[in-house]
Amino acid sequence: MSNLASQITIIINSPPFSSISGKEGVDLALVCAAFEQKVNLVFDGDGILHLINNQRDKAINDKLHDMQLKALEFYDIDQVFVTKVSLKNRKLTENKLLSNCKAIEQTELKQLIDDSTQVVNF
Amino acid sequence: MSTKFSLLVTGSPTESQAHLSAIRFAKSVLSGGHTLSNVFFYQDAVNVANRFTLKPEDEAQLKEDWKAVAAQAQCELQLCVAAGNRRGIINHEEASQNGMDTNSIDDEFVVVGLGQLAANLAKNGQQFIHFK
Repeated sequence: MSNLASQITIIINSPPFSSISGKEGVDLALVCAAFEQKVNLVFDGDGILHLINNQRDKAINDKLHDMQLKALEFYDIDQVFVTKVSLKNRKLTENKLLSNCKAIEQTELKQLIDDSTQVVNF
Repeated sequence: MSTKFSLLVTGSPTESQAHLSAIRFAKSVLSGGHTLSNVFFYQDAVNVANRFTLKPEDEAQLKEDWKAVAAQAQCELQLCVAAGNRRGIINHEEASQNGMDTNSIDDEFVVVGLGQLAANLAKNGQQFIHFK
């Protein structure tokens, strides 16, 4: 018995490159969306570094998954959330990030979590 | 009142306490008269299904402990195929398709797609607990 109205929040806290935790979190978000669940994908802490918009894969001899992040809207994940405090702490601004990101306050993050049936952290 | 639990384990069997904690939790669930509907292994947690691990006898035998929990709970030990393949945790089918001489996964673990985790997450009427 699955619930079509279920809302899953996936929070990516881990940075890119040092592990594939963030990539595996995004994979789960894509699969949940493919199964017609409402998905809130949130990047918090060092996780926001996944979203920097001018990374070059040639420099690291590996695939970047920013292409996967740019494709999120095709999987019905219209919006990717980043927390304002994480941006501020890293002296970053929204214009340094991929275009489909929305910066939110901690109170808005709390609301997303409260509204979710499940939350998974990566 | 009896509660249903679904577990997600993502922590490594050697680099984290995730499996020790999850196994203790699972045993408490069962001894408390509750039910366990499934255990899903993702990320580095899939390494617990490696049938080639050998540990000193006086250390926790995580793979055997999971199998005992699953037998008692009559639930599946589910493992993400993509996460397993990345880490060399390969079943018979994948091994033969890729010209490998043998499988590395213990047969009591069930290889499933990540969609199974999405389904576990969406299921009503059960508590979902993550060990990382």
